[in-house]
Amino acid sequence: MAALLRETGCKELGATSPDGRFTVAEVECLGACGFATPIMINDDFIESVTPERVPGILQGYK
Amino acid sequence: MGYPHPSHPKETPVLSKHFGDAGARSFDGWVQRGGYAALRKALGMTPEAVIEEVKASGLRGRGGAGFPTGLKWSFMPKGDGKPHYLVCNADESEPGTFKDREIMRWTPHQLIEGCAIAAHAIGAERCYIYIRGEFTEPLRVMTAAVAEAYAKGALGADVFGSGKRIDIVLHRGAGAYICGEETAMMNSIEGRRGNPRIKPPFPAQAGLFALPTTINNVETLASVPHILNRGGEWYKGLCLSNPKSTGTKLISVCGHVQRPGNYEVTMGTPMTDLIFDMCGGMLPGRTLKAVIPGGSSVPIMTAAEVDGCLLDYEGVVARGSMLGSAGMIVMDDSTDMVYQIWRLARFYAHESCAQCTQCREGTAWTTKILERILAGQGKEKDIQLLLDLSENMTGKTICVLSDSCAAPIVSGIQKFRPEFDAYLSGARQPALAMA
Repeated sequence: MAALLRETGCKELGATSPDGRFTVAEVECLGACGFATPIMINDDFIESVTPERVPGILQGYK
Repeated sequence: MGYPHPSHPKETPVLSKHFGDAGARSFDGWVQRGGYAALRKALGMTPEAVIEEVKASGLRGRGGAGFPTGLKWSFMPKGDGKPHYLVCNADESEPGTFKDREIMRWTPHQLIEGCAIAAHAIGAERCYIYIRGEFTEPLRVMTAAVAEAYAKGALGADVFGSGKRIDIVLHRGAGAYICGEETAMMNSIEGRRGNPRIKPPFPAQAGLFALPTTINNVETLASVPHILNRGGEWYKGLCLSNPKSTGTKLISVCGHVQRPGNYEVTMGTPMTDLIFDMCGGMLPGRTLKAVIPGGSSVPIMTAAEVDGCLLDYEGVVARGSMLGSAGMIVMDDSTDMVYQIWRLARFYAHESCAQCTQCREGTAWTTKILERILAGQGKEKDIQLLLDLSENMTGKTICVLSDSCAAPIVSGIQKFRPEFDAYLSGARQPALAMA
């Protein structure tokens, strides 16, 4: 979570980044407990996310 | 197989045989793997004969309640001249459960075939598959598979030349947990707010659009083609302990195990085999503390209760919990039970539809009490207050969401009371700061 906020430039959960491209929110359940941590960017589903993977993942959306 | 891991010798892959095999996703790929033979066979049988075969198999609902599937189908009125509907519950949202997702991702035609057979059996021409909104990949796969099934004549006005019409409509949910409850799901499909309805009338009398409706879980329907192909007797034989629970069950295991994933086991397999053999046991240096066996809505089991527990509907009940949807959450000795129970209560408070007072107020209030206990501001009487609230949340509402919130709270207090007391006495440092 901290990595997502840092890499997108969002100040806090629910806030939008200064460039207007990202908003980070916490959701209750994405139905993938076996592949924690899952994140969803638009309609794309990404599993087993670690802080180290975050910069690479976000690169595709900048 | 224990997707995403290789199959374990103690597993019985029936539904999960082709998980991870992208070739099984296409119509032709599915036919090469023996697919659609069961649908052709079913179309040559009377609906009654199909229902009898499913009754003989002992198949029970895989969504959580464990109601016998053949019996449920037989409740549909016959010769009433009204349209009938089949609804496939693919709104898999129970925390800890992620099995239907893999069925749809890897074997969409297995589900389509099961839906078509069930539709034939209950006299329905239309089947709605309600897929949860977050399942974008399963939706993509299912959309392509349904289009292909129409193109190849497995769906449509004349299924495989039998003269029968069977249509499948994919309906995407919008992310509410409550829409996994069957009557809320019907409201949602009708375009209404997803609030559960009072029963009776039961769906078989007046369900979707007030017409006779059967609702089945994805895993239940996906099991049907195998029963038709190999016979109810064969399915009934897949049973290690008690003849009331038959067949195989996909179990989603998550939490502090070495290999989380979906494992398909024969009913009656010991729970310790699953956790310590198939999943590779606990993380290094840790010991088992607790298991929530059926998705988050069931009572928590201690390590002592897990020992000797058999994985079938009755076996888990005998050890004080329920098999539910078999989303198994495994927790080791590093787990703070009070924190975990608060986290579950917070989920239910967020997902309550707020229709019934006991649920709307109860889920939010118990969450707040647990929060203040965790913040070191709990009072001795809070424990009794939690138990009183839970009592008022159990068996007194339209659906079981509030019961589901109460079950882990009550069992948590009963089984892990010293952890609550440690927060109350100040022996344990607060885990949360009060907002």
